[in-house]
Amino acid sequence: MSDDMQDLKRDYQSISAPPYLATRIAASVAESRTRSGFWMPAAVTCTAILALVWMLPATEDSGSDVANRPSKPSMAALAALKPTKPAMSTPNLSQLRSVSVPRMPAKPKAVKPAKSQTNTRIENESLEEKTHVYI
Amino acid sequence: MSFDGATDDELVRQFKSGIPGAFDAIVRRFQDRLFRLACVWLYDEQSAADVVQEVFVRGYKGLRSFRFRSAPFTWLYRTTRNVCNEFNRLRRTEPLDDEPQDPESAPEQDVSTYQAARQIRSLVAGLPQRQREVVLLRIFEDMSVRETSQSMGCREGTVKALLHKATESLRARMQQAGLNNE
Repeated sequence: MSDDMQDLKRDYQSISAPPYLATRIAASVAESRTRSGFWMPAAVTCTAILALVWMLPATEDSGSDVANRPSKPSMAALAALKPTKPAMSTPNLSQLRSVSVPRMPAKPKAVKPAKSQTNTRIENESLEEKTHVYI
Repeated sequence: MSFDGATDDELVRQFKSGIPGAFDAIVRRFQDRLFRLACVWLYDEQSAADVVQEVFVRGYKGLRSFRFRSAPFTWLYRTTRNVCNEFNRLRRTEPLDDEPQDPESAPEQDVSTYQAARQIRSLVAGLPQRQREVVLLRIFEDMSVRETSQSMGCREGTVKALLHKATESLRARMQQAGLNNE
């Protein structure tokens, strides 16, 4: 390596970081540490608010329950209770007989057409003839 | 607790186990090397300081899940490289290829202090990206071939080949510039 290069290398290696740099680094590291944890108070506050919102209706409900809850009945009072069935109106037989039912209309008589009968007879006769022939 | 005698892996283990002061020790151990590299890759030292700060902020999270498949410096080096690329992409400029638009904008003492980084930047500016990395790590950072290959994620033979090509190119450039290369 040439002398110029040796001198250059020596000068280069004599370069050191400015004295304020270490302090700046420490400060920025501390700041980044704070910045990375800045959401913690916000998260705690949000959690507390959510917990309050969740708990308030519950306490209100429990308070109204206590106020509206009937006193516990004694066993004697329970035994004195009779089951009451709802009254049902049963129909009377005489009333059922008196109900007038309209008469059913008369059943219409079936009228066979004369033509179809003739045709049937003719067909029967021809069948008899054929049968007779084959026999 | 003193962290001076601890190896890089031990330091990271102590940081992972939550020993106070371990991360500050990691910062003290690596900040100069990362700052120098960032000075070469970026166009001004203020951006290099910003990059190193960002690298250690990421390292504070990333090293907690470090699995020791590579050296801690390899992890930090790759993160530095990525953050530098992000910075350069934001500036819409090609990394290492162009000189800064206003090199005299830095204060006077900064220009003299970081002159070596500027010279190296202009020296390796014409090399392909992989050869630049090899020159920086192997020659100027004095890393071994193995360490360089681990940092770059390639084989040791590739590092040797890249270094050979890079030194040939640099020698030719220095001859053209009239520098002594004996």
